[in-house]
Amino acid sequence: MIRFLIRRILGGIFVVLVVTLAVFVLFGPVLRWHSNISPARLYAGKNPSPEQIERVSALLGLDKPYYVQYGYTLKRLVLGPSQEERDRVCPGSTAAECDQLLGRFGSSFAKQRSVDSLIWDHFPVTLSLTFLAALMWLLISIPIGIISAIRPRSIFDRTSIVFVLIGQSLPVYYFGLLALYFFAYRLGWFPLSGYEPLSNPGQWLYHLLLPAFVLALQFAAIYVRITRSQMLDTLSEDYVRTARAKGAGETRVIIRHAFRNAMLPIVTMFGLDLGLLLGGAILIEVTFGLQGLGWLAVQAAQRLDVPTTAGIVLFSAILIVVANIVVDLVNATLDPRIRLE
Amino acid sequence: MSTVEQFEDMKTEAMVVARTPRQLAFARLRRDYVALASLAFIVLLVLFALAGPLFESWTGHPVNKSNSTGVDDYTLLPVGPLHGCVNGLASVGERACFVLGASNNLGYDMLVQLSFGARTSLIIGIVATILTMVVALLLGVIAGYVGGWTDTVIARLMDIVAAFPFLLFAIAASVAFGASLWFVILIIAFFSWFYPGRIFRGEVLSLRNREFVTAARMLGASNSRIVFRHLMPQLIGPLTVYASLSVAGAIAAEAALSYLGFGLPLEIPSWGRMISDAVPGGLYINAPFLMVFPGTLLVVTVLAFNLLGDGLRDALDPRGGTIL
Repeated sequence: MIRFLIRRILGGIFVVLVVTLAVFVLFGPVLRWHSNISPARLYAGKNPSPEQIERVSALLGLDKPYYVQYGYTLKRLVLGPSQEERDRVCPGSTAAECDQLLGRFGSSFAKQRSVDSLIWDHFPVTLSLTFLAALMWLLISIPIGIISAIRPRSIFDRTSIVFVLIGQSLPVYYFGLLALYFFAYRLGWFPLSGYEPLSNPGQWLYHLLLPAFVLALQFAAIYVRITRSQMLDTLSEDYVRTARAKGAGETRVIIRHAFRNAMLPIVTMFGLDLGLLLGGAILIEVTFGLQGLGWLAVQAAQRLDVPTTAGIVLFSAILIVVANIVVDLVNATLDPRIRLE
Repeated sequence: MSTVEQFEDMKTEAMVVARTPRQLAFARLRRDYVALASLAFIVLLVLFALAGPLFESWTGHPVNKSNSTGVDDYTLLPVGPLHGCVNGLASVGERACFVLGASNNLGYDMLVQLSFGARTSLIIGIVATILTMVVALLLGVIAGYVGGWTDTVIARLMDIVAAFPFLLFAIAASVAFGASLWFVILIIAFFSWFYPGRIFRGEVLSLRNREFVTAARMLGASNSRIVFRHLMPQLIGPLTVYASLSVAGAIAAEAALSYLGFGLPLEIPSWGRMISDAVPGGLYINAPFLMVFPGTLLVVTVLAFNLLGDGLRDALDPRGGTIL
């Protein structure tokens, strides 16, 4: 188990390294040489003089060769900003003040803030949205999938297939706009936009229910299909027949014997789809005016706020990698065969 | 009756015809009305996209051109469907008729924008799919056939690309590369190849050790002959299925990027951007057709390519049942 864990963590670190490199190449050489945009110029404000650009360049460490910059970016990501950079960016301020200005992901061009503090400000919105969506998604898809598998080719099964197809092809933002139009505007059941923190649970749920439902439905559609086919497979296994032969009740057979085994690939897929969920969250946040990470990323990218955009991409990649490791651990606990592999 | 006569009799009663798997697949496809309807819709969509210049001259509204007649003087909202179509036909010179209304608050003609948007979607869907399939075939077949370290490296590469958050990364990349048609095609292909690639790799992996490959090798066939003459033809089935699904995916991905305002430059019409045009200031509340026309077209198009892919999968499945 320990070896399995170490191997997965090393693999995850490698993926994060590749993402950091990709982001660095995009916002370093590609931005500079392909699009002829210099970050120092962006940071220096409107119509800067060459001296100003040079000063900003030195301030941000952009005058150094790329490999030095990349090495420092990695070091900062792991260990936090160095004392030397702290002195350069926020001279004369206390450590706490400097933390607000400079973090592991650098500092924002558009706002006088560290990218870290921006991410932590906006992350709760995305976390609430995706958590609620994931919960709804599993609660919708698993029961429907199980019932479809128990009664294949029934009317229920056929209806659920139509629901799956529509859910798969309906863009989440268009569905979101339609839902806003009918449920929020016409019927007035939900607010048109906005977010309330969890400190007020009723309002929190009231504001998130519709966006989370829209986000969940798209994934639920695919998972109905997966649950159904997995359940059909496990229901025809020998151990299910054995369980029936030994006199286990039908509910027990379905839940304890068939579903537990069908769950493995579902958990794996769930881990892999977290990236898609974050992508869907961007579209939902923009559509519903929820100021989460995705919304922040779009804002930052529109303003060419390079460190913030890069920080969010990195943060999400780390999030996905960690989630995948957790999923693998859950799978390994559920199924001893995976550990021994 | 002699045995021979009996046999002759049977032959006339039930003609047994030998049919190749491909003929069987076509026969199954011909009976799949959902897949046929999807195909018919796709053909209509291509015609609709080609008719763009016709719509331009017929309505007198060039693509990407704002029309003062397309915005209501009092409400400042884009005009609705059939606006000016009764009186407008009589007007001299430029016809004022907006068959499907205007598409944004600059008074672009919805019909013209939809038609040129269909071009964008189809071009991106098809070109991105060709690129995706070439890369997926190349890497999938190499990984599956060569095996060993090559396989490990390619399989890890697939895992890494799969772990990237596509939309977020595409936004970041569009900042760095700037907006262009090729950028959108390449970024979509870059994030799509791993999925069919895994399928092709798995197929080749299972075919590699089958008897017909061993037989070919024993007869002295070279690796390239085995790959191109013996393995590749087996991949045509999954290739067509995933190509159809990939077109749907690429069209949806472009629309999502354009909806967020990244990827395509403003002068290229896009359904995704048309939907996003309905959002600022809650325009869609007062003029829902702004999002419903491009939205519905997008949904039906993606659905059609998905259904066609599903239909092809069923038709090419040898367990698909007998066709009389």
